[in-house]
Amino acid sequence: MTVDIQPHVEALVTALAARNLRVYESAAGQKIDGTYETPTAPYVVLYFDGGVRSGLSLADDHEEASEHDVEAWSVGKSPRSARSVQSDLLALVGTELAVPGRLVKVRHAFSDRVKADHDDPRTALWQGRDGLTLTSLKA
Amino acid sequence: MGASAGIRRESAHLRRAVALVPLEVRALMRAEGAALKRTLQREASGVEHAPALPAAITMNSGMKPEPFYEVGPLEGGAGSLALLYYGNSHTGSVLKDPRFALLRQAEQTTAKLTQLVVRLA
Repeated sequence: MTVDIQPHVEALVTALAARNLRVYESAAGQKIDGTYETPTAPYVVLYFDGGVRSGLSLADDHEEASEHDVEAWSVGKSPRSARSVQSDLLALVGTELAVPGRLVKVRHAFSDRVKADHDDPRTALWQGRDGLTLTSLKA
Repeated sequence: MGASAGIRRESAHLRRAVALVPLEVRALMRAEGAALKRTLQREASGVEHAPALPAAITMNSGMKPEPFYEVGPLEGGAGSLALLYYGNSHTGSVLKDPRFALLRQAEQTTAKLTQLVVRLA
């Protein structure tokens, strides 16, 4: 895999931040610039994988085509709040992300309904999980 | 032709493939299921406190009631560590959601079944 994932991460974070979402990467509170803050709901946490080579036949150079799976956890203090985050997230499906030298499109993989986070009853948070795949071709 | 008509026609083609070349379809489902199993085993490997989880991921395939393959951890023993696919609002899940791999494999399976149909046409 030769495609650099970091510009894809930054483009998705930027697109979500433009919708006034609080965005974390890899853990609640972990900001993309490497700093940490105490997470305050509502927020969305993104989990990226390293990407897989794509079999997209549209690309002549398959070495340059990749797919990046992203798990997104939309979190709120109420079901409504979590759904609102989820809705803003899913509004990106079908859109293109601004990644220099790449054509990157956001595809929907799956969605889970919003449910209570029972792991820590003190926080009383609600969460929904969505799967997105970024298809990335050389521009 | 509407989308539903297209799907009905495609379904008819696939049923024809199952009827005419059942052994090929059976072998295809077995191979595709094995590929998905390898992917999930790879994704489940490397978790320090769950070294046995990859081996607990099994695959079953068949033709009834329709061509299928199913892949995942068996319940009990190391398979109970499937909870690593779950997660919470703070840390997410330990393991990547298996639906990514399933969707990707399903696309490939559909493409190969379609190739079979085209060959029969």
